[in-house]
Amino acid sequence: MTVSSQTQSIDRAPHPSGLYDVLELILDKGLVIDVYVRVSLVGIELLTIDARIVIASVDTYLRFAERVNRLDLTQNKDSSTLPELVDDMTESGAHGKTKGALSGAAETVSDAFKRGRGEDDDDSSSRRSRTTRSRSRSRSKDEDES
Amino acid sequence: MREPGEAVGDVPPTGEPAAPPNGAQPEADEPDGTYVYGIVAADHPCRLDEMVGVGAEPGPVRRVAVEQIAAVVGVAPAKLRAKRRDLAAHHRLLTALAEQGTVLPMRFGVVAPDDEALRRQLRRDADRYLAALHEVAGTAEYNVKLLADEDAVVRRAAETDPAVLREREAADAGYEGRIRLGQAVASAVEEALSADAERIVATLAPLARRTAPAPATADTAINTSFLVADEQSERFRGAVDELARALRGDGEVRCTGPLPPYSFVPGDDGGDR
Repeated sequence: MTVSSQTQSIDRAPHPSGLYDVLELILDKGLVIDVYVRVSLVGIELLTIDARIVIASVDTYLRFAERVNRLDLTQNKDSSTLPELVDDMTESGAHGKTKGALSGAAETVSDAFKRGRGEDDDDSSSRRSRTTRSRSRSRSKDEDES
Repeated sequence: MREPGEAVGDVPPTGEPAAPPNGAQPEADEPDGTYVYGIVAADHPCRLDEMVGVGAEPGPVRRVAVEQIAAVVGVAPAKLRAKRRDLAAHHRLLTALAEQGTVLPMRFGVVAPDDEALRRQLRRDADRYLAALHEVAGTAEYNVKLLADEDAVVRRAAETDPAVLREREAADAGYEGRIRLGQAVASAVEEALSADAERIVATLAPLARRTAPAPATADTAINTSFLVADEQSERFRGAVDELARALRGDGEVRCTGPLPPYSFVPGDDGGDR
């Protein structure tokens, strides 16, 4: 049910592995009625944080500037020695851990997920979903290191 | 008013001492009200036998009907939380209901005190629900996200955006200079992603009956849902594929669907009040 730009394939059958992609719809959309007691879900409200707010901060500006300056380094010095390259890579790796400017809300989603999972059994769907997440994580890591 | 299958999962009296929260014990899911999955018209087939609801020991999924309207419900576990297992069950059950017919999906975690309170609610708002069901009949929701490739977008801004180039030219390595550079990059990034967002909506909205912004999450630069008529779904998917190719440089376009129309029910931000 996920059409991804990588495979260009269309899988018609709805599949629980898409849960992570529709999490915010299940938690924030859908019908709600007044007389109903809606279960209080601690932390879920964080899902609605506007990612754009994260963009406009001094911290973000500095991070962007740092990144562009790093572009200068990598592009102007074609003759980078091996130690230099390694340095750059470790730096990028650390930067990846402090997360990109646009991904501020990402952690709140997975945090809510972790909280929600609690002592829950690790069933097959959770394993699938984790695979999806680690795949996207390794994707951004690859980009950092390239 | 009672349906044949209705008594199967009757809610035992509440107010009993809560069972210890021991995951190994079935009593951990001491029922606590009527969990509502969705609302359907009375003529929805409601083949519920195979359906598995929320909770560690999900009770039977059943139907609570009032005249033209019915709710698909189950027993609400006492300690309902947004567990992966239960979110998946909620979504899977609604997906199955949507395959069988038209359904108004409830948000996760909607619990009525008991069946009788639910019937009162259904009776009172029957017309509104019927109208909403009519509106989403023969459609499905498709959610489209752009997962931005931030590095690529930043790199392009650094190489092509005039304001960014100006700041790079100035090469002011002081605090103020770095802020100005970063600010220029940030606004170039935002501009690029807004342009992508506009392109996505401009391309897909004409193929959809309705469009609703979805909550911003994760690293999704763009998150929008579309209500697509079944006869348009092929064209819609085709257009998504083309967008995915066109925007590859900025990130991954990810389309999920067909989904129950979570974003197109009454009272929702994108829906009719």
